[in-house]
Amino acid sequence: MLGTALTTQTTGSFFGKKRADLKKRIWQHRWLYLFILPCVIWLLVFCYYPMYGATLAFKDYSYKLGILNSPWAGLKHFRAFIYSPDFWRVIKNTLVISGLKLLFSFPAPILLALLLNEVQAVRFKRVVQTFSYLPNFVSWVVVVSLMNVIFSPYGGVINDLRKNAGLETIFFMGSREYFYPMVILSDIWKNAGWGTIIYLSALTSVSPELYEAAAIDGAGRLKSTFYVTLPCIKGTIGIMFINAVGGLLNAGFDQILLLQQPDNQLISDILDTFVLKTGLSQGRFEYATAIGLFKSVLSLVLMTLANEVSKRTMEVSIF
Amino acid sequence: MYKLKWTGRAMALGLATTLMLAGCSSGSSAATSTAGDNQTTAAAGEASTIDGSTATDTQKYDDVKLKMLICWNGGFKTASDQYNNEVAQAIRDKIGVTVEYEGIMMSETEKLNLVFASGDMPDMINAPYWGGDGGETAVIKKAAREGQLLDIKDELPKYANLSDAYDVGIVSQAFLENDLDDPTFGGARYILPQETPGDVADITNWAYGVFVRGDVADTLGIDPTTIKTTDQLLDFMTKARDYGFKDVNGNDIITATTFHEGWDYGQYAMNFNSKQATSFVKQDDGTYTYNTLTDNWIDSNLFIWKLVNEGILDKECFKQSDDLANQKVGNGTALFAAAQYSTVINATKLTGLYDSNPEMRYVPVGPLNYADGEASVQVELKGRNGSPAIIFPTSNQNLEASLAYLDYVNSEEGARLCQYGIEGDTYEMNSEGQPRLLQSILERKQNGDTTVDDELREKGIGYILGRTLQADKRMTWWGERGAGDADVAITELVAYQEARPVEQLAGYPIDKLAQSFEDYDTLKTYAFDDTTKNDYTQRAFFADTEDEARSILEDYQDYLTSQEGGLFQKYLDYANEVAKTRDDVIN
Repeated sequence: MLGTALTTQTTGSFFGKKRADLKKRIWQHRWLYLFILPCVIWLLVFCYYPMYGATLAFKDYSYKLGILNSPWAGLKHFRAFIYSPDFWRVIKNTLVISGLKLLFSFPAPILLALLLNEVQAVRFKRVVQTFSYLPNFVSWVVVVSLMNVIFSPYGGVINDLRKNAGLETIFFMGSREYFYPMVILSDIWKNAGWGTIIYLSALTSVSPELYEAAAIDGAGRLKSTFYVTLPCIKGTIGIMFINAVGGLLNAGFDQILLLQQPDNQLISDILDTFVLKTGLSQGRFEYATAIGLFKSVLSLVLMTLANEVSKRTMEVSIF
Repeated sequence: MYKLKWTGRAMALGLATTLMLAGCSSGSSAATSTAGDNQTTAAAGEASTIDGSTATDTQKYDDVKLKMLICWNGGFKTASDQYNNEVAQAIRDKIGVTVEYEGIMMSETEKLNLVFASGDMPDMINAPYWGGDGGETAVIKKAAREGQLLDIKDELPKYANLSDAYDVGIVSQAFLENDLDDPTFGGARYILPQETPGDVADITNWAYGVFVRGDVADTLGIDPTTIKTTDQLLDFMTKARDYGFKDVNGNDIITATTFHEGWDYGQYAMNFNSKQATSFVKQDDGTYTYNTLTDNWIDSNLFIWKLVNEGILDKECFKQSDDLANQKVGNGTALFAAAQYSTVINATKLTGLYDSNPEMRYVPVGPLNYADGEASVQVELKGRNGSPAIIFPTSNQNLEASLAYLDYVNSEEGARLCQYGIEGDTYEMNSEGQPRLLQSILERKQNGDTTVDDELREKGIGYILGRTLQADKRMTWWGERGAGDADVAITELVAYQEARPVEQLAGYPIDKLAQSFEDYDTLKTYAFDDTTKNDYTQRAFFADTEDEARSILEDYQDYLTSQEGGLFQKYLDYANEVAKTRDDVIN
């Protein structure tokens, strides 16, 4: 009894001390915490507070009763989604598009960053960097409008060139076979430049001495990249990979929605566009929320798996 | 101890901030609800009206300001200052009420859902209420059932110019029984039907059809008015495609196009249709089936597939904007266009095509006949079978003032003010006692000066009636629907309206009768959902082969009949059963 009491007392004092230390440290850095406060409030208000809305997935929504007071409906909206004839098609499309982006768009900024890192002319490097960042600030609406103009079968630049060369015009934006290339190429064009920022900052932390040592050992530029640069930034790549897998089911809503055409409908309908069409547009908020929740749970599972893989292969993890 | 208190306070402050923000939203909705409840019980009996469509003798309100959401995708152009303009001022002088209008640029159903779900509701909403399976109708009915709308049943009779809104003839019997007086409303009336015709002459003839560039017909030596069948149209279009025409800038042409999102490619396939008011088809054995389940539906869509596949119909048209379509038509790039004639003409006005190239003036093709050879018409039922509607959310600040405003603008005096402005300033009365725009304004209109409409709009003229007139009596009152129509009417448009006139069908439409099917709510979530139907049909248009296209269309038929354990067949059986209960059923 006494032993237990002592242990409890010891443990209690241990945690009490730790708590006091924490408070002391918070007070010491109070100004820094004050800076964080707006972000914490933002997070609480815009990310945590709306989470109660997820209960909508289990309810029959009534305008008058609101989310909290609407009657419970069990899993009926999840069942409606899972048994809908489009379920597997939509899941497959989402995974295929996301997988292709992971395969091609994810490495693109790494490659570009490595190339930029090798450029010796500082001014040229800065110009290239600036130009590669610009597409990031152009909205998808503008990007797809530009693509429509460039690739139009009626007066588009590409098709005019084809016609002048005696070739048939092609409806690039509306043909099934060109859908995936259009998605991936436009995604790389828009996002690769901006994505290099994080890798370029990681590259600056690589010690020049390692390159010197590699050079003494006879390594050329390519070997230095493989044996020095990449291992040094693998932590950053790992973290970015985990995040990318976490967003795998997002697939790029606005891009895909804008690129949808009748002919590519079967392969371009992803979870988010499906939610818009069958849920939000028709006022089936419960159904849309159920699909959204389903997606979030699946994303969490994928992210956990990616975290495990990254932990084992790259010794990097976020939890 | 002090430190602990500080931390505690900070956390409490954070929590309080979160709760306060959370509370803000629920608080506002509670306030809205209370205001609405007050309005529901408020008496509106003091307002007195005089009979007929002359000036209404209502009480004058003390500068009541109201907001009306115009829930129609595409926006709503108003005067830049909706309070300080001549018309608003004159209405205010008369009844003391000002209404400010706000348009939307998104789907109507989506907006209505947002409005009711968020509780951020205006005083009045004008939205589509087509009845039956329309998406907007479902949202409005749900809002009414769930207490989000004010009951106007006892109020309407007090306003002379609105009191006939539910009269059969102005609205159809079927629309009244199934949608306006929906059985689930429990005897309440929430809908003020709008844009209903005061008389047969007041029914709008939309002049839908296929139109071709005039020089194409001349060059090919084809009289476009002789085109009556699908085969003739296809032959005409093929010859036009192969001839080598250029647009106004010397660029390659597109043989045929539509306006936004493929509107209205169905005009090219008009020859597959029959004269009917619903989506039901009467079969040889006298029973009814659904048009989408017939071979004819497949054939008409295969015709569109053929147009796409043979490079005749614009491949971009199913996803294009009106702006792009306007360019294609306005520059004469599209040889054929299908939509309302006025839309086609307006596109050419934007570029001045007829001034620079008068030979490129678009002229009507046909009109195409129905499948049985009869000349096609614009089918209407006796009384509207679905209409735009004005509804009054519980957030309405003053229902009496809202109705008094609508009553006034529905009087001849109020409507004249909204359409023509102030007498002497913008219009004068002719020898027949009809208002006519001043000659100087008419001349500018005749010369194609589009800025004149902007100037009139800034005075508050020309936009209010479109979304507030209940029974449209303008033709009866003034002999013209729009200001200047009688003097600057587009002759080819008038001629086409005569060639494809409005025809009223008498009878009870079967789709309205079948709305009482017990699982109708389940059925309409998938069976009448145009999004899914368009996905299938438009995918079929881009199929590589006709067999593939046919297979996709048959897949949609299977989808329709296989969902919910074959519920659609039960619906059809029910429709045929109830059709036997009346002898005036029409399809």
